[in-house]
Amino acid sequence: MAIRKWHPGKLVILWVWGCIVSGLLLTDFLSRPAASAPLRELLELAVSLVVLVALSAVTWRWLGGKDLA
Amino acid sequence: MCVASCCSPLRYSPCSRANVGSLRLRYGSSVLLLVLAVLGGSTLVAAQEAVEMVSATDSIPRANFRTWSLFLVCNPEWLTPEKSQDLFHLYREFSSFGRTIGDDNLAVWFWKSKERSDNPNLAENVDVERSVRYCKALGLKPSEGPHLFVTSTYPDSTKPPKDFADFSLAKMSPGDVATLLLKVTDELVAHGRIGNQAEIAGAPESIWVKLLEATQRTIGNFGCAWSLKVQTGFLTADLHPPCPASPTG
Repeated sequence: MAIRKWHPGKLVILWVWGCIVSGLLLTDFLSRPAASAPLRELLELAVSLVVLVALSAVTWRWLGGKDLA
Repeated sequence: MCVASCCSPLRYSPCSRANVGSLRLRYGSSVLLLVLAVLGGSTLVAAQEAVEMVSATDSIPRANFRTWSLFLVCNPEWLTPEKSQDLFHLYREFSSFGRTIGDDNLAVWFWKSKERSDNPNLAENVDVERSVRYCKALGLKPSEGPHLFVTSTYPDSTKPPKDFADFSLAKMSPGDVATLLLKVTDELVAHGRIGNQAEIAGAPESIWVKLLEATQRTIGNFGCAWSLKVQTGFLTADLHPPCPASPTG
């Protein structure tokens, strides 16, 4: 699905879903010792970070230059 | 030349001949066992706290065992007088281990001569040469010894078995050794074999596991560092994350 035009609402939706996913992953990550399932813990932390970084990148790209307009 | 595990009231062993004198038999079964030993021409490894069998040529009992647990002292440090007491404690731990792993599993300790096992200077009596032969054949480093070597195939001093687990006791405290023996006992009694050796031995965590744990601590501490207070005309709320109370609190 190609996004032809960005709207702040779309960013809000993306951030909400991203925060839910990331929050759940981080909660699970923190809920048990890392040594019990290291690979799973690492994956949870990595994915939660990737989601937040990706959302930041999308927001940054869409907002890029708008502050100068 | 071995210390057999805790045994059923009757357990026959070809290597226990020289050791009858040192058996500590329970009163109830001692007469029966002695009679059987004389009649059978073979010696007994019977219900006892520990059975000490001595002779460099005695072979490890083979029949009817699912696993063999060998205690191998190849490390010269453990033969010094300073370590004698530690070795004695280790022997006692191992003796208890041998009693609790059941009839299907055999615990073996190599001795040189007939001496009472409660002699605190038992380092001189450990058959190091035989242990070294096993260590060499099994590829065990003497410096990491003593070793607890558990195998489900009959131990051979010339080649390593297919299925085995080796636990190095060199850097373990007495408490760690006791814990390890407890875990090994659990495995042998419950499964008749050693499952995950690294898990039982408490393998040191890798660097990235430590990093993950540090990350968890950091995020956890950060989560405890904030509180949110909302005060409006008709509503007052004070939000704190569910963190453990501080020791000083």
